[in-house]
Amino acid sequence: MTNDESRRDLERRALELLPWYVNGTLEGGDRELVSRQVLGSLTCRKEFERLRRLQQLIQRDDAEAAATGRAFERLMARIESSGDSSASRVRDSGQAYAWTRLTLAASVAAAVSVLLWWSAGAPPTTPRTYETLTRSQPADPGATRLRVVFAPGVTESERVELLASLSLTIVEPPTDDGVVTLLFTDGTDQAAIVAALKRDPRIAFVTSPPVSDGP
Amino acid sequence: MKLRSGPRVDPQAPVCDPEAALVVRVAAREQAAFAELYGIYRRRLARFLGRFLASPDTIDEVINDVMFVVWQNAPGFELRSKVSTWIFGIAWRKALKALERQKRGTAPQELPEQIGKPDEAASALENREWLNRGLDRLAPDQRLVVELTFFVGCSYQEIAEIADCPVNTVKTRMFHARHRLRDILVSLDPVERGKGP
Repeated sequence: MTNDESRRDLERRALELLPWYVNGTLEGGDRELVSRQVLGSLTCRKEFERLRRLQQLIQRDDAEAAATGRAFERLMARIESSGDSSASRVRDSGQAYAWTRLTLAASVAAAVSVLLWWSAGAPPTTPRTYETLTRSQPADPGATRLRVVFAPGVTESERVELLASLSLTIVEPPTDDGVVTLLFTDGTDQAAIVAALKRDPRIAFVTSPPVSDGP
Repeated sequence: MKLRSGPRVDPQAPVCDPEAALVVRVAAREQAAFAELYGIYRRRLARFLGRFLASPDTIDEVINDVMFVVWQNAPGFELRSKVSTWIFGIAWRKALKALERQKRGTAPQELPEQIGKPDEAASALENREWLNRGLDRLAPDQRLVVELTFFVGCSYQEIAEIADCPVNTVKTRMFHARHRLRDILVSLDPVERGKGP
């Protein structure tokens, strides 16, 4: 192999490895080879710059409005209903589950607070309100909510299982009085769900008819 | 990624990598650890899967499928792999299945061979639309390599493990992906951008 061929071969190998040099995962001899070529070859240097910019574009953050808390609750309900024997141990560890939900709720609440503060241009001030079971909800077009109080002694996993079985999601965590605000999934039979809740011994109170926020 | 024989997660063994430590706790059925792992990966998986799957509902569904497998298989996870390699491997296989379902449900989309001259597209690059159109033209396995390299930050060895293929195949797929993205790559060069038609 002539010097020229050897140089071209090194350049070709460096160009092949460049993406992983750009993302910082190249190690050892590979890394040395590409470093040398980026310094010594105009082609490699140009391609390095292009790939670096491509990486920046790909990594630019997208808004991802996933409701982590609700999705996690659905997953846990699925795990428990799958009959995983180890999940029953989880069911018993109510404290761990409560911690989990609090952590997730706190994360979501913090994110929402930052967004509110950002959009309002000033720190949010929340007026204290007296919570009752039938207090009307803030406007949320298209959403229909209801409020429930779980019976004493109902575990967290039982709540999750019940809500998942009725396609209900928690939109507001329990108040000091234990009132939980729930949201119906679109297209569900709301009257039937309320009736099921009323029959269920795990529910102490339920608003009836459901609070509608729609026009 | 196939689970290979070897030492499995030992809840008593000391683990330095924080994510691996979480998996050890998940293997011991600690739900708080699972919630933490879920929190770490949900967003990453959503963005990763969002590159392949169009429907947010499908993405949510696949994420929960992935994390369901993570919960079930955590006791069998080998600490020889990085946690991210393991989880993205599961995600990729789930994404492929979802893509198959998606393909069966819809007519194939016609994608243009060329996506416009670089100078025309330069301004559109600002909002990434153009790049996304370019990435959409890649075959799924090529796109996987690009996303895992530039978005997730995997080494080519990790990508080979995730995609369950030889390292040289990863390099070949990256080569073809770069070839298909050539017009975008050229336009990312400020000198080329300034040249005009």
